[in-house]
Amino acid sequence: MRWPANTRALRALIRDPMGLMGLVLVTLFILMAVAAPILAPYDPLALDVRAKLQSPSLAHWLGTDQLGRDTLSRIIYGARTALTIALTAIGLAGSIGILLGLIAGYGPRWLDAALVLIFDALNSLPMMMFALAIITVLGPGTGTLILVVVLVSIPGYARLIRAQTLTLRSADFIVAEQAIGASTPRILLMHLLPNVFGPLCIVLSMDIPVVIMLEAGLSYLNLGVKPPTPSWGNILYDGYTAIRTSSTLVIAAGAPLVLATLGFTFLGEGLRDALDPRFTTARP
Amino acid sequence: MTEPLLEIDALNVTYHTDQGKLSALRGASLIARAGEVIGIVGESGCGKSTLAASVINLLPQAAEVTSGAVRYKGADILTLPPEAQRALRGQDIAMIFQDPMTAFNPVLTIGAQLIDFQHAAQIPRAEKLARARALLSRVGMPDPDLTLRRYPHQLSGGMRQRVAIAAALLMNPTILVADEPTTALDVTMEAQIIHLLRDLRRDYQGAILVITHHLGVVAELCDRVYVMYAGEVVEEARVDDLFHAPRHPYTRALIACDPGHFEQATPILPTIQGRLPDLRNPPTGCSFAPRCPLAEAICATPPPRVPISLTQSALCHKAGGQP
Amino acid sequence: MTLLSVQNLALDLPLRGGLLSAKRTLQIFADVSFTLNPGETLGLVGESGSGKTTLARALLGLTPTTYGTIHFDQTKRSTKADFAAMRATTAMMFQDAIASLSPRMTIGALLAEPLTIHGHPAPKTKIADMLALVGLPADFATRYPHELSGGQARRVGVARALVLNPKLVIADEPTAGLDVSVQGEILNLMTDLKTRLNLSYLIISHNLAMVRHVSDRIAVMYLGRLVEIGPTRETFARPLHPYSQSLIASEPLPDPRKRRQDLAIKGEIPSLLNRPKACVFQGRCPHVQPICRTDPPTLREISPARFVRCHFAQPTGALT
Repeated sequence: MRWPANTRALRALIRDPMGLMGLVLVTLFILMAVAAPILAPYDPLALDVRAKLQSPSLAHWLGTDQLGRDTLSRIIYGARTALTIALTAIGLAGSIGILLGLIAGYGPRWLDAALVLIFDALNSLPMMMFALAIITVLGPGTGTLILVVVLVSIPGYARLIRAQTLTLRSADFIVAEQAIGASTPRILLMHLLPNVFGPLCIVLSMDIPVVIMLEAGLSYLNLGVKPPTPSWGNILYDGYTAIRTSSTLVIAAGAPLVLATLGFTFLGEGLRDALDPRFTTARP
Repeated sequence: MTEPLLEIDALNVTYHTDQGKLSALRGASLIARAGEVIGIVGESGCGKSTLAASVINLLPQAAEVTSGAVRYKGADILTLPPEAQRALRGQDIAMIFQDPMTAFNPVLTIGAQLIDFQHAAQIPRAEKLARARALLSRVGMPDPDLTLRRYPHQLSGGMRQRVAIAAALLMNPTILVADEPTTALDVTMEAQIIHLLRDLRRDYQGAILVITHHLGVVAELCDRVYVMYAGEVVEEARVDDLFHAPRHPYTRALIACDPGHFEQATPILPTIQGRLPDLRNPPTGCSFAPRCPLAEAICATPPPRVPISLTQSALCHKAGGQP
Repeated sequence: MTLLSVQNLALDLPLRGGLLSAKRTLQIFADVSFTLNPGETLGLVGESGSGKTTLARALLGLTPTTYGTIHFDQTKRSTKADFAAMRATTAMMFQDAIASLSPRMTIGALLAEPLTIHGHPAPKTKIADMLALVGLPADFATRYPHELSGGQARRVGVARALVLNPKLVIADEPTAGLDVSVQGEILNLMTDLKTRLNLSYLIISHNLAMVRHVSDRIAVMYLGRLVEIGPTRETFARPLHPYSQSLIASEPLPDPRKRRQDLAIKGEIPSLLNRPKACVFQGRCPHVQPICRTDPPTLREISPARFVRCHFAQPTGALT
């Protein structure tokens, strides 16, 4: 039985135990983020100073923080914040990186040289200073955070795609496409992109948790997501300050971070193999 | 007749693959005596490379010898301890590969490697160097001293193959196994390597095994030939008999397909219809029967090895009749 | 009336030099002139490093050239647009059949692509017809390139080359890597389609025995020069250039009674960086004279339809 390409890739992903685990974890996080208002038992911003820093109980499954807010609700809403920022930033950076990488790798030499110069210049800026400079100019906030991630990530993605494209641009099947008269956009999008996307796929997936961590870090410095908006970084920070009284908060915010990292990494590796027909179809 | 140097006796080799067990060799037998050049010829998937690898016991991990023996001077090398097998390789049995690059370390000079290949010999370094130089000039390297200082990538494919032959001869082996030695080379280089191998055999006391798919190479180089098909030796003959009185239908078909054998250009070239049998589920009868123009009902039963003469035999029900 | 006419084609590639050294170039081929008639098969033979594959790509505009002209179908082709217009009537078959098929597309999509690109409809029936034409079952349309055997990939390569009804097919080593019993199938298929579809072939190969059976005329290339062109039968019977002579005499024959006793040619093809001045074959030629090191020979018509690039070649095949 043969399946159309998309179903086939999905089936291959599900057959791979690691890929399946990644898919399940990532789906859970996305569900959590989308259905946050339904899932969360409390308003994540509702204060209850009488019930601060409670241990887990039937009323508060994961206890409360120093302001008496329900931790479970804040974690669920935190998934929403984390995923929105990470997916938007990585998606944007990935798309721009692919485009620039393909142009640099397949285009004329002078354009390649110019683009590589820009990537190098961006890379040579110390990342933290660069991020702080942008935040200073534009002010902290979700939009600024996304912009910082996009600017910092593009060079890496573009370089990866460029390197892959350079090795494939003189491959026989690309010359064959030129010989039948395929246009440059067609060659780029239909023949090069599917073959260079695999390695990027896993890098993108593994960068999503990095962005979640970065968001947490900058939020801690008061340069990212502004409190009281629930974010895992904010919760983790609250947890550290209260760690002598209760460790529940740290564990409750740390666990989703670890699970998200694992989930996206497994999914990335699974996708890389599943998208390649050479791994998923056996010779008859 | 002299004692055989090498005797492969009814060897069965199975590969364990994802799709099940694959019988790569099915009762293959071969004898090589000192001073002989033996050809092993067949198309891809016939088992000739597995046979070559079993001679030096360098079968891949997934391969398993299920029965049979490979005897070198009477001792079964498959049952020797790994230590003794290693000693045998390089000293008594040497190998030349299709891609000579695989035989060399890219970051060491040719000289360093030719000396290192002699690590088992208890002679001074200067003597090893002298021996390396002598062999390089023996295989026709124009400037042996310069070659000793070169790195493998600085030599052309033909030159690398010459150096690989020199390296194989360093320890004075009694058996030289050449796996597709000219396949990667151009026609004029191929002719030179054939010439060199033919030239070497005159002052070389051992046996040379040439594995090839190229009938021209066999005709130019070999004394006796084993034709392989689907893991079996289907015909064994002296080279002249093989080309002028072949008895197995596959041998005949193979020779007929070679475009080199026509005196005049033909617009339609002969082919062999059909496909190789699936060796995961080998046929019980003759493996060539589905493609054979002579096939009859009896060919569904295992074919006998029919002796034609002292030096020729064919694995075929129909080989008994007139040629 | 010729289909393809090439005059004095040359390709020099710039070599990256140091900052202070003069800019050097590497000559890949030069002074290449030949014609190809409709319905004709020309075999281009030469060893690796002779420049034959690069020449083939240059003829289709896939590699730029530095000098010379290409006329296809009576029209001069020099700009990108010229070659783009030509692509609907030319096709190429690659040496590595599997690698020349885009790995993530199905065979069906690969066969439909030339039609789509040139604005034709690509119905499933047409794809099935093309597969049938090259002797493959219709269900191959859903397979991926890596699922094919060498012979099957060759057939797909033939189908893809023919889907636009081209006038000229350039086939680079069409039988490389195939067993002799399968090689005939591909060559017979190509010959059969040639007569049915009135194709012209340019077949590039180092396999003399194969080229001899499929081509009407043969061109021998050595180190970027055509050294001999002539009708296949006569060229094989009586090669005129010393390189063609030694090339044909080097081919191992499948008959032990015809063993080559002495070596036809010594040495090897020099690197492009050490291209000999004047005659390119001087370093290996058994008949070399002082003039061969000073004056480059030109490709001259020595007897009707037979061209040779040698100062000393004679119509009899002897060298004086």
